[in-house]
Amino acid sequence: MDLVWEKISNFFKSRKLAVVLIFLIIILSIVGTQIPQKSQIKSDVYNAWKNNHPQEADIFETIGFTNLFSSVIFLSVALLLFMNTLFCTQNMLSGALKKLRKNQQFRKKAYISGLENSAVIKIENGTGNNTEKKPENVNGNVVSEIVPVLKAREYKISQQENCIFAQKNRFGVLGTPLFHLCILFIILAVVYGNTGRMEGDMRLIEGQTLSEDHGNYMFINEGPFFNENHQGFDITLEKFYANYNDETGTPRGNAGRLVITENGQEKKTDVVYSNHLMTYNGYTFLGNVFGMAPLLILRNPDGSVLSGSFITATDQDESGRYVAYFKLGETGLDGGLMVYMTANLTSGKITESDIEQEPILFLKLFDKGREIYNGTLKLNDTIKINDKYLGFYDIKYWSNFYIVKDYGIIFVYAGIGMIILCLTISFFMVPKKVWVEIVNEKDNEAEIYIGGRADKFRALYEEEFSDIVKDIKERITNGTN
Amino acid sequence: MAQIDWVLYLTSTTFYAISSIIYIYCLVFKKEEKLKFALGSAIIGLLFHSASIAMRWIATEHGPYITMYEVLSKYAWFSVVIFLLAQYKYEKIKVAGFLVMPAVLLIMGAGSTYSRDIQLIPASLRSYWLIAHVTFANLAFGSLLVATGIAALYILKERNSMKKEPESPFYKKLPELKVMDELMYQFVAAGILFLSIMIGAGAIWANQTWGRYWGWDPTETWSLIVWSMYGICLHLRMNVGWSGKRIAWYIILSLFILVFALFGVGYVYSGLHTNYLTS
Repeated sequence: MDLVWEKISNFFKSRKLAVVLIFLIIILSIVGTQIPQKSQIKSDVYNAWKNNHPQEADIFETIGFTNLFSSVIFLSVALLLFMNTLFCTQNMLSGALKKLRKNQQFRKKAYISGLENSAVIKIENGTGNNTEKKPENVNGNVVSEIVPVLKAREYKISQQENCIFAQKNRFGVLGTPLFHLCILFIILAVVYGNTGRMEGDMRLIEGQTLSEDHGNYMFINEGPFFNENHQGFDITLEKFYANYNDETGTPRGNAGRLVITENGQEKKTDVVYSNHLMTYNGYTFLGNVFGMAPLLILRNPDGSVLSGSFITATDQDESGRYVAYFKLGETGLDGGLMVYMTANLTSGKITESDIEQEPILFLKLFDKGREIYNGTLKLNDTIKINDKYLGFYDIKYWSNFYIVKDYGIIFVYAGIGMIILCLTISFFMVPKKVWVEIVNEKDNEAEIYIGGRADKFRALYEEEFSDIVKDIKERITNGTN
Repeated sequence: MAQIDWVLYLTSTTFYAISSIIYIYCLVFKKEEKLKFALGSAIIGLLFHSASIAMRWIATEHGPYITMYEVLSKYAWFSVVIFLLAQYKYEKIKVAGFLVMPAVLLIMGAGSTYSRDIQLIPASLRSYWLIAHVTFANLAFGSLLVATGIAALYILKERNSMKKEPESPFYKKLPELKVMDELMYQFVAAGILFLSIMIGAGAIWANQTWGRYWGWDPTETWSLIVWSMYGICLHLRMNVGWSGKRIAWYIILSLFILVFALFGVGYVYSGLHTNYLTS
């Protein structure tokens, strides 16, 4: 059993496996950008591609590549990478903690001389190559000259008899393992968020109130653990602005003032526009598409209402003209309309703010495919359809609001922050150590053995180390000044 | 004002062109003593370039991150600044300008082909996260471009050291191979840190704008591909034992993917970022 576990552990701990899996993720990601993804493009665009490439579409749909980033293949590779990161992180973290626990390590000359960066400074009464003047109290004075050099470079120093151990950025060893831990944390946060996530579009006409319930969403997507956990509070689109300027006068595009009420009490109100979302009780509200909704009412000859509603029309080509196709209640009639705001021509000079716009409605009505009306209506106009009267009585803006509930977001944000911090620690807080031993073999002679090591960028550390040695030599030769 | 910024832009481009020519001349003819002229031209070019960006900023009343003309100008500016800072700290790598400055010149040239009309900042882009997102993209590109320059120098020096004749004094003045190897590593590390911040800032901004922090949009996917490419680079170096020439080639080839991810994706794919990346 232990052997099996060891084999599994060795397989997942492999750094080469990490490279292979990341490479596979890259390849799959590139494939995902080449094959149209259902979740990325509009269904009519996708269907057009499918019609033009029926064979490829069949193959890619079968193997799940038209939803590649949630396909079994992609998720399997991602899961393997998760496992690999988990095992590697455990390995790295235990190694880093072991290193941290090894606290003060004083070293002797044999060890120091064997280091990649090492030097010997000889001190004696006399002159000559590689020799320095001998201070009167060799050990004490030498230490007092070495310590400030290392302190000036932010080393923390420990001393024991004739040995010095200096280190800096000690906790830098945790950078890389914690970075990997953060990746795992983010993946778990994403999974947690997605499984309990709810997202949907709610369409509100100006002045309309809808409760936060499943049935009131035009489109809704709920994670398996959301469990229909709708809160049922009321959402009102109090006012819609096609061109909103905020309190500083900055143009913000279209915006909607939303009011949240619970049990008749107003809980929150805010204007929602691009880059300015509203949050309430874990829900996020974002502005989405908008349009105009003319109110058409069909009346009986006696004036009683037979049918009537706001018909939400959409500006599909960003031309400022809003189009809708509709059925007129239970009358069996259907039709199409186009509505837009227009200004009356005037002979006088006017400023932009004086322009009053009025809606104009182009209407076509059909009775079982036969055109029975084709004409233009202004506000409050009425037309006779068979023995009934159809009136255009009001027009309002409508807007879709994208409503999201995702408890994982806060953890994803925390993970992003931690990843950046850990990467900074990993690459730019490199642990560095310096060992010194002062050896007195004769009364009037001493040798200072200095060695240093950096965990990363070792060749670049050589320069820092030689500067340390140079400074120590200078101080011993010339004194503090 | 708009005309002045264009004149300054062209002036800086001219100085960058002079600098590029001198850097290449120095490399080809091994004239180390002439490098100071290349550096001088780059610095003068940067001064004009900074003035051009400042003028444009005043005229448009927003930072240089809306039109491609502004965006490319800023990429070039950051690349020159990072290169000058790098060679200030590691003087011996100054000849890496033979790759960095022509790349900057190309970016400036590409920027000049786009419309210079002033565009108001659209409501959808009015966010502080935009500034963080694009600034760190610029920093990442600058760092990785310098890493590529050092990688190219590494290959040249190594090739020269393989020859039987004694190493030319020009190459002798370059840092040792192992030092250049670590400098590449350090600049890639800085690049990956900046890429992480760029992706993180982009994710937070996307969540504020679109209600999701990640949506596998082609631009997002390619940024992840680039991040992973450089992640593999670090793994190969630290864990698989790749170093020196192999890593240098890897870094050089990765630059093409980086350039595609930053400048090409908007033209090849349609997605949420497309309008912004091709304006």
